[in-house]
Amino acid sequence: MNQFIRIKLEIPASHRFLNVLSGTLGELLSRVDQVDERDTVTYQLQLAAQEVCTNIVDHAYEGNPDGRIEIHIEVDENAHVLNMTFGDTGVGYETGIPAILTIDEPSEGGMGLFLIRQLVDQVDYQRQGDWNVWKISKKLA
Amino acid sequence: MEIQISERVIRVQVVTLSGRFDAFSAPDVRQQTQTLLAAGEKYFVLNLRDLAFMDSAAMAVLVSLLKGARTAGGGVTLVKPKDENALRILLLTKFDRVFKMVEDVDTAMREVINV
Repeated sequence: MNQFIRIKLEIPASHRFLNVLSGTLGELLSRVDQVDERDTVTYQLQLAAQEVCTNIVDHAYEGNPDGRIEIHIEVDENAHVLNMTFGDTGVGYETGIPAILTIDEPSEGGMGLFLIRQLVDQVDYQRQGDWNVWKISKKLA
Repeated sequence: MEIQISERVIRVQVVTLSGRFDAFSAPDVRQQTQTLLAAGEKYFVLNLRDLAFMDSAAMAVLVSLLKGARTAGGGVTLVKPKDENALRILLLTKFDRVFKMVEDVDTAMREVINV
């Protein structure tokens, strides 16, 4: 039975609760039809989502524990694609997210943005009014 | 003829991490390893064998520890995670360029003192 599956989460902007998103993605993808290399795709989406949220916690909200992150997950089982949208009302990137496309060796900063771009097929960031809106998309099969 | 026998003892700190090593748990690992560095320890084996998940915050802790250990004249050797996806991320971020990465703790113990 092919269909759109939509899940909405709102979590505190805290490192402590980012595992909730990982868990949700893991359970969701375990029930989605036709996912190639399911464990790998799941891990990559969990890590990309973790990195986006960590960026929001550390940079948008600068550690403010009152911040919230709105997350919309949509799976299109016909197109075999998963889309995620992350919204926050923290500080934005005035010139967009830095494009870290390659790294020569591991470092203490910048690896998160590098990983996001490596692990999913599309990454988009926009400032919409008071909101930062991240969109990531990955083919599942 | 003179015979001199001396004993050399090299201390290696074996830090075993399992489960989820992420932005939430990374500060604790950083604090504990920095405490060891401050106490004069300089050889570290990071056993990542049973690690289920690792993010960039966790990887930054490993890089920081490596810098500290090298500054002290020591080093850090990693035991590779058996989870292929976690290992793939370490390779994607070029960890194999700066860390010795081996299959088990015994090998890591031998490697880390040969820096």
